[in-house]
Amino acid sequence: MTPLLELRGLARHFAVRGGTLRALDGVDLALNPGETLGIVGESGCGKTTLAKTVIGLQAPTAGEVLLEGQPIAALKGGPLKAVRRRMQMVFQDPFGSLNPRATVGRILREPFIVHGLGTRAEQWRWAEELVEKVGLPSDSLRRHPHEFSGGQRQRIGIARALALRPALIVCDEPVSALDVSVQAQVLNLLLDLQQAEGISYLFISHDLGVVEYIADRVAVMYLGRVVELSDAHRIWERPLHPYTRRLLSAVAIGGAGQASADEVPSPLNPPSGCRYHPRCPFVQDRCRSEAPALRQLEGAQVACHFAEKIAASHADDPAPGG
Amino acid sequence: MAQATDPGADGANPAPPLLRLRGVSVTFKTSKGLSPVVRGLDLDIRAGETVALVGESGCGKSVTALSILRLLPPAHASIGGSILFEGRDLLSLPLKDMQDVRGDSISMVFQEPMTSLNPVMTIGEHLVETIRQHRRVSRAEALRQGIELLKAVRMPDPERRMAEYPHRLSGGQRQRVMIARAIACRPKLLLADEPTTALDVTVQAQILALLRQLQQDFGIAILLITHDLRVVADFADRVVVMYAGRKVEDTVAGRLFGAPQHPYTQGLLAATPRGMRDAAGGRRRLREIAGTVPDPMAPPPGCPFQPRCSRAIEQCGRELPLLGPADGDGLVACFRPGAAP
Repeated sequence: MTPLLELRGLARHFAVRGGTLRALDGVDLALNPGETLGIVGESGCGKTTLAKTVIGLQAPTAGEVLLEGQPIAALKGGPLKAVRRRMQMVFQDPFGSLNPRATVGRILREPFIVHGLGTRAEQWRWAEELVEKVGLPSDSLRRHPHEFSGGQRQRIGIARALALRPALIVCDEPVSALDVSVQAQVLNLLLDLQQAEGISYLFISHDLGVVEYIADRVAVMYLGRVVELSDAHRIWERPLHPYTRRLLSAVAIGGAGQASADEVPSPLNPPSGCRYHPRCPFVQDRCRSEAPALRQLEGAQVACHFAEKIAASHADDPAPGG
Repeated sequence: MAQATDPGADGANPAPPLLRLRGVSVTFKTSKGLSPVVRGLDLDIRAGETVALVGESGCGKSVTALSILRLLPPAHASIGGSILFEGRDLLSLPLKDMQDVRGDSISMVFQEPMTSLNPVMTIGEHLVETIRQHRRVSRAEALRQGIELLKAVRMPDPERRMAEYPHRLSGGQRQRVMIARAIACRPKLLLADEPTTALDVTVQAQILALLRQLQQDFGIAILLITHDLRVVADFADRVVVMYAGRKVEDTVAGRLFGAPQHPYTQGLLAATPRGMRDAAGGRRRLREIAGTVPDPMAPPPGCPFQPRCSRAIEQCGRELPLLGPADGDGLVACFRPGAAP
């Protein structure tokens, strides 16, 4: 089966004062039709850069993005526009990502206008269908974004992303700005839409609880690289990378926190070898010099030289999330 | 009345609480009229205790903290009721005395550690300013104390940090500076308003561990304001759940998670995606709380949660349920409290 989306050695570097910021530094991932791939990690791990590079808001420095087997960078004009229709994005901020001066009707007609689809009357009818599909009141089309709550605005953003019947929606922290009761509404809506329309999601979030719930597989990123890739329900029970372990124990109820400061290093001058080595309790000499590649282990993929040893030493531990 | 339902007034612990709010109401004056955002709130915090105030946006939790320190602009907000701190009513204190309370016996840590620090002042200047505001000490002595404070909040390389500006620090380090400032005068009460919300998860865990450590070392009582129930579970002794400006449940933390009594609390817990996948990868559907929080200027009749409540009966639309003893320990404001059907 051809994956819907494939990333091959994807990198995005930024020239900044003092050197090169390697926001994304060689990421290989594949997403199958109808699947949800979660991307988790902390600030500066490159997850938002990944989203922007996939959707084409930023050009990759190296590597390529393939949609349905087609390298996007090679496309121009009509074929590029056709590919663009197949992938859409939902943003974190439901306040900043909707034009405050446009009515919801206008916002939802915009994708059809841009792609030259339908007559004005047809566009209105499609907008009405979209509003219904995402559970907004039927009089929404004549109103402006400021008249809606945060959760409703996120529904508008989702309706807009759905307009062109995409195969893939890139969701960048879509529920982070929402209260927990509203967050549940939006997550349920995303799952319902996936079931009805077979959409794939690339779902980016710092919230492991949300990702564990919505994703089929999860990629954990650290300083521009994927350190672990695994089934969502499995990663919670048996994390393989020491960084994944740490992330999970930080969010576990009653999570064991250390009062001392120990933070993610800057992606401007990432550590040598394994980028996690300065924070890793299991560090060995090899980790300081040699960067571990992603490799198969126990049906998952992990980038750690000593993953087997570490896993064995924790064999009797209760799951950190338990 | 209120005292009779106070879980702490049972004779076993006769000492008056450090902080006692009685019938506190906060009303904002808006261009559209008066907007009551906190309604008749009773709240007790004992010395050394950690109380979490939880609820969603607009429930009045942050406004409650700001009113304790009288940080709301009087032209736009009026506060009613009484806020007794060590027996003195803060609301009737002259402004000068109130300024002595702020940052000395009660201090506050805010959500956004960047905007709470002055970008053109060094970390050292921030700390010296706070110390000398409340203590008659020399600049050299204040600097020395500042370094001690940075050590207390586990700041790496404290001597060097004193000369640095806020932009050089990470979010977690800035929050450590804010906490150092807040504990500079050994306060009896620390108001922490979403202190970890803007931080990454591993840094969140560090900051919470730090707060807990400081609390043990210095015996500070903490009022932790958060929307994140996960943060509350392990951290707080007691949890107060607010909805639409009112307290709807008040209980010991362990019990809130084991046997929540109010339908709103139950709804919040059931809406959290943690643990909703089974071992085979199947998903249980998240329980939504239908609808949205009511507009404070147009609250529904009766119980404020009634339009969103699946257990509402006719009485709920007519009468406001008062806080009463819940099954077991704690207080709940509901006509039909208890386990979800």
